[in-house]
Parts: sequence; structure tokens; C-alpha cells
Amino acid sequence: MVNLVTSDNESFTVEKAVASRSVLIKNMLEDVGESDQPIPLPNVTASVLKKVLEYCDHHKNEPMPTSEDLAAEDTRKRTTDIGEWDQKFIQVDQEMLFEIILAANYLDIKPLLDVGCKTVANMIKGKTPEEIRKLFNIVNDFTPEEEAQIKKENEWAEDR
Amino acid sequence: MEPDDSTFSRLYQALVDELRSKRDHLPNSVPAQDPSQATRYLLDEEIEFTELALNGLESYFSRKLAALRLRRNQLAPILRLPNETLSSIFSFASRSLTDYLSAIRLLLTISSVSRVWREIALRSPRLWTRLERSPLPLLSLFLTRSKQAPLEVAFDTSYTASGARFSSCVALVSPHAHRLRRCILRCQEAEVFKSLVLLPAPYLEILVLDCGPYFDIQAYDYSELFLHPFAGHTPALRELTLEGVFVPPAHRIYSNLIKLRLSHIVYTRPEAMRDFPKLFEAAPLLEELYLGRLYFFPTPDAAPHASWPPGPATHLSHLRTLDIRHITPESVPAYLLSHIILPPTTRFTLSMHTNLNGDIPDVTSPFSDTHSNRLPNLSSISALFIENQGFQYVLRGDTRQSSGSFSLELTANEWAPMLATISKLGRGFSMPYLKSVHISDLKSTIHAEAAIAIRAFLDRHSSIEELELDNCHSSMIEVPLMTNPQHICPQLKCLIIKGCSLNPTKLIEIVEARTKPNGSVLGSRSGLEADETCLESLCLVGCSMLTEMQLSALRERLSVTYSQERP
Repeated sequence: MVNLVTSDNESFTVEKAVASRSVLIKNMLEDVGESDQPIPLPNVTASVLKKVLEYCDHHKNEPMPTSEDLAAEDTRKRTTDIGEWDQKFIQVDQEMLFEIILAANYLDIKPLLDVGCKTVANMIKGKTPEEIRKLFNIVNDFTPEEEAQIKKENEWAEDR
Repeated sequence: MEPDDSTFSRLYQALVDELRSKRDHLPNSVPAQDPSQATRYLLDEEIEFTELALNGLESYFSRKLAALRLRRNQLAPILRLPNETLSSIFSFASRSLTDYLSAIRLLLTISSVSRVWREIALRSPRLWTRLERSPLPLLSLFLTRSKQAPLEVAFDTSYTASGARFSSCVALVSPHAHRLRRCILRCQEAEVFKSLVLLPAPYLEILVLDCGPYFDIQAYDYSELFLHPFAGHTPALRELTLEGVFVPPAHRIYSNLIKLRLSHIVYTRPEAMRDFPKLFEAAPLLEELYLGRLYFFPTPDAAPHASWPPGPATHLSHLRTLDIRHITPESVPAYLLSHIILPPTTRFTLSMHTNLNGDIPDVTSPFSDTHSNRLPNLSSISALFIENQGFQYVLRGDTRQSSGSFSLELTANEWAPMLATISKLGRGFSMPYLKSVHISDLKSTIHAEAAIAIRAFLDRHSSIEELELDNCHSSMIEVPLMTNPQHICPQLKCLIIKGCSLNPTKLIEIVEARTKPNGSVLGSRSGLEADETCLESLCLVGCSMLTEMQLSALRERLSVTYSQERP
């Protein structure tokens, strides 16, 4: 078993197979060897780690992505389809979604990072800039000159 | 909600005073002596100050506004994500869109959301590497934004897009040929491709040069357009399709390929036949090979024929699929196949068209024992279908095994060449594992004579256990009754007859001859020889009506499935 301690000082004891879905933790365990020492995760809060561990537990028996899988980035990015369980898992509010992505990035859990990125990508697809701004609480911060340039580029795309 | 006029007034006065004080430091122009002229001068000066103040104010507020909005956006939760994660999200969003127009619109949308998003998008060259036919300014924009990232180019004249001409698009991309990673060009004028294949392409992995199927254009081997594409430097090339484009068989472009598709090429030179196998030597790593619509016009003395000894063979040990379709003349596939050795796991398909003008025996006869050793699945056909599809006759053979297989398809527009092929079948391609034969739609009087050829064919294949006759001439129904000296198909267990007019007496005669009555010893009211298998099941669908008594007589001998109507 592995003991993980979050930034808000909460402790989680999990199977090694679950914790090792994180390449960061897996490497730490390999470096340290057998040890009872807790592993501090200063960038992850308890609520987020709980969610991340739920994902890791569900996928614990799946093969880890190989370096070839990761290298074939173009092929990987040709789809934003998400498995049924993962879809349900990632149905969270925006705040939690971004926290999960940040945690997956920090903990180096590539499949979870992909699920998060695909979810956001699907939210973007088919929307206008204004709709995207509204969705993500962003304001238009372009100067009039930049707006003019953007307008010109968009006109080229219409001229097919 | 607006500030009070008095606030604006104070602000205005402060700005104008500052501008006036700056003007006072400059040498004064001489005020006019005339009072009205002096007033005009003062008003002109005030107008000028007001305009300057307004422009300055607009510029200042605009900058202030942008800075405030930028700070505001930095607090948006999504912008807590690292730039590379946002770039990855943009990449997922754009790459997952197969429609190019949708993909580029999405990229332009992303770079129109906010300054930070635009900056991330513009600093991600890989987002902009997909190039298809689009207006030249847009293509140019993508080329610039992709910086030095490898390009994925797909220009296709079959697109309905208006605007940029194909040749203009190719010309714009040509100086970036060294960046190509994937290049798909479909156009009926091969000349247009030329500028893009001049320079070395060290990153090129996939190349399609297609002047063929869409346009029904063929390349000739005397064409010098692509004698030395990419200056012979394509070390990363793994997949190559040349349709209606000729590149010499020994060229370095074929080295290291794992997928190769050649079609719509005409070989006229006397040495073409001799040179072609060099292609196999050049590409020993091939996993998929498709050769289709290749036309050889060798001189008579260079033409391959049955007596040719097989040449030195290349072991294509990685080959998973081999597809040879419609190569002319029909003797060429046997010649080409004599130059390769396939692993037993290869899925091999051979499809040819036979016609009266062609050399029908050559379709099958050149396949010798040597072929069988080198092409281990050549004898693995277990099911054979002979069909009249209305516009053509098709003879199709398939294997039923999980790894490695051989599929044969012979087509003919006329019945005569198909009949000739059936007559010879099983000699060139030995089929020791043939288990089932399905014959359909050979019903007219011209097919009546087929019974003899089919009988002879069945006679050569004693392993057949299932025979299906679907909508066939009545003469064929009697084939299972024939003996020579044994019954035709002595191992026959299942007979299926569909949509045929039956003579019930004849049918009962067949069944009685090929079965034994329940509980009886072999030979009692049966024409079966000791080493012949009993017919076990009879399926009759959509045939002429049988009486209950006739059906009972049949059911006494074997299992009968009977349905008057076809499903």
C-alpha cells in the first residue's frame, strides 16, 4: 500500500497498482524503494486527489501507455471520443474539471490528461468566439487593430 | 452610468492646457492682426488641441482597457491551465475534425477568443500544419504559422472548392517540400506535381501521387516526369501510393516501405517484365502490397509463359496482405508471383478478368509446384462460388482459416470464357481442401452445357461436403446423381437446392442413391460404395411443390428442410 498526503494535509492509503497509474508516483516509488514514508503531493487537494484516485482505481488493470503510444501524438489527437465510464467520471463542474487536468498534468497520468483535454476540446467545438468566451468566463481583450486583423483572417476562411 | 459633464470638462481643460503649454515652448507663429482672423486662428488651435486630446485619450483608454481585460482574463479558471495543455486541447479540437473547412474555422475561432488564446495558438506550429486546398492568403498564413513543423498536405482536384487553383497551391507549398511529412496529391495532370517532388524530403512518411482511378488516366513507363523523385532522399517514407504515376522499379523511393500501392501504369519497354521484380528486392520490409490495373505490353520473346522457370525470389517475410487485381496479360501475375516467397500468414487476393481474346489457360496453368511452395496458401481454398451477376460472371474462392488466406476472383463478361475457366479450374490452382461449392443463377439454356463442365470440376474435387444450387438449370440438379465410377462428390453430406424446378421422382432417386434407409445395412436400396459418405441433409427452398408423401419418402432417408417460398 502507498500513503499519499495532499496539500490540505489529508492522507490517502491506496494500492500500489492504483498509485502507480501516476508516472510521477511510480518513479518516486522506484527511486525510494520499499518504504512506509508518506508521499507528499503539495499541488493536489484532497477533493481532487479523491477524484483522480477513483479514475486510477477503475483503470488499474489496463496496460500503461507505451512510449510508442505517446509518440503517436497525431494519431491520438485525431479523435475526441471518450469511453462511457470516463464520460460519466468527467461530468463535473468546470472548476473541478480544470483541477483534474492540472492534477493529471502534475502527477503525469497521460490517459486522464487526455480525457480532460478531450472534454474541453468537445466543449469548444462548434462554438463562436463569443460563445467560448461566455462558456469560460473570458472577455474580449483585443485592440481594434487586432480585431481588424482577425476579421480579415476569418474572411479568407469564408472565401472558399 | 456616465461621469458628470463637469468631470469631463475638467479633464478636457487639463488635456488642452497641457497641449497648449507644450505648444508655448515652440516658436510662436505670428497671430493675425485682423480680429476675426485672430479668432479663427484661436478656434483652429482649440480644434487641433481637442482632436489631439481625443486621439490621445482614445489610445490611452484603449490600452488601459486591454490591460484591464487581460488581467481579468488571467483570473478565468481555464487560464490556470498551462499553455502546453491549452495547446493540446486546441490540437484535440482541430485534429478531430475530419472536414478541413471546419478544422481551419475552429483554429481561427480559437485565435479570436482572447489575446492569450491567440498567442498560444500562434506559438503552436503543429496546429497549422494541415494544408488542403484553400484560398492562397489562408494557405500562406498556415505556412507561416507552422514555422518549421512537418507538413501534412492533401491537395485534391476532386474537391468542389472554388478559389485557389490546384497548381497555385502546389507552387506555394513547393519551397517547403523539405518539411513534408504526409503528402497526398490527386490531380489528372501529373506535370503539376513535379515542382513538389524535386527536393529531398527527409521527414516524408506517407506519399500519394494519384492521377489514376478518379480520372482513369494511366502512366507510361517511358514517362520521365518522376525518374528521380525527391532527389532519391526519402529515408522516412513508409507508405507509398502511385496511381497513374510511374517511378522506376529499382528506385530508392521503394526502400523501407511497409505499404505500397501501384495501379494504372502501362509498361511498354522490352525490359519492363525483367525489371519489375526489382521492386520486391528494393522493398523487403513490405507489409501490404497492392498491384492493380497494371498493363504489360512486352515484346513476344519477353512475354512470360508457362514454361518460364520461376526467377530468383525475394522473401517478403513481413507481408500481411497481398492484393493483385486485374493485371494484363493474365500470365503476368504468375510470373510476378514466381519472384516472391510469402509467409503462411499472408492474406493473398488474386483477382483477374478473363475474356475470349485473352489466353484463358494462362489464368491458371502457370502456377506450378514451385509456386505452391513459395505461396503456402495458394491451395487453401475451401469454399467456391460461381455466380451470374447479370452484367458479369464471377468465380470466387475463399479460404476459411483465421491466419493467412487466399482469395481468388475471376470475372468474365461472357459465359464462354467463364465456362472455359471452370473447365480448367482445379488444375492450376489445386484445391485439396475444397469443402463447399455454391452455384447460382445459371438457369438459361446457354448454361445447360455447364452441367458437363461442372460435373468434371466436381469430379476433380472429392473433398466437397456441401453443394448449393441456387436458381440453376434443371440439368445441374442431376449432377449429384452422376457416377464416374463413384458418385460425383463422394463425401457430399449436404445438398441445398434453391429456386430450381425439380423433378420429384429424380430428386427421390438422387436421395435414395446417396443415402441408406434408416436401420438398413449399406447397399440396401442404395447406390453408395463402401468409401462414400451418406448424404445427411437436404435443404429445398423456393422449389416446385412436393407432396406430403414425397417429403415423407425423403425424410425416411435424411434430414429435410423444406420451404415453398424463398425468404
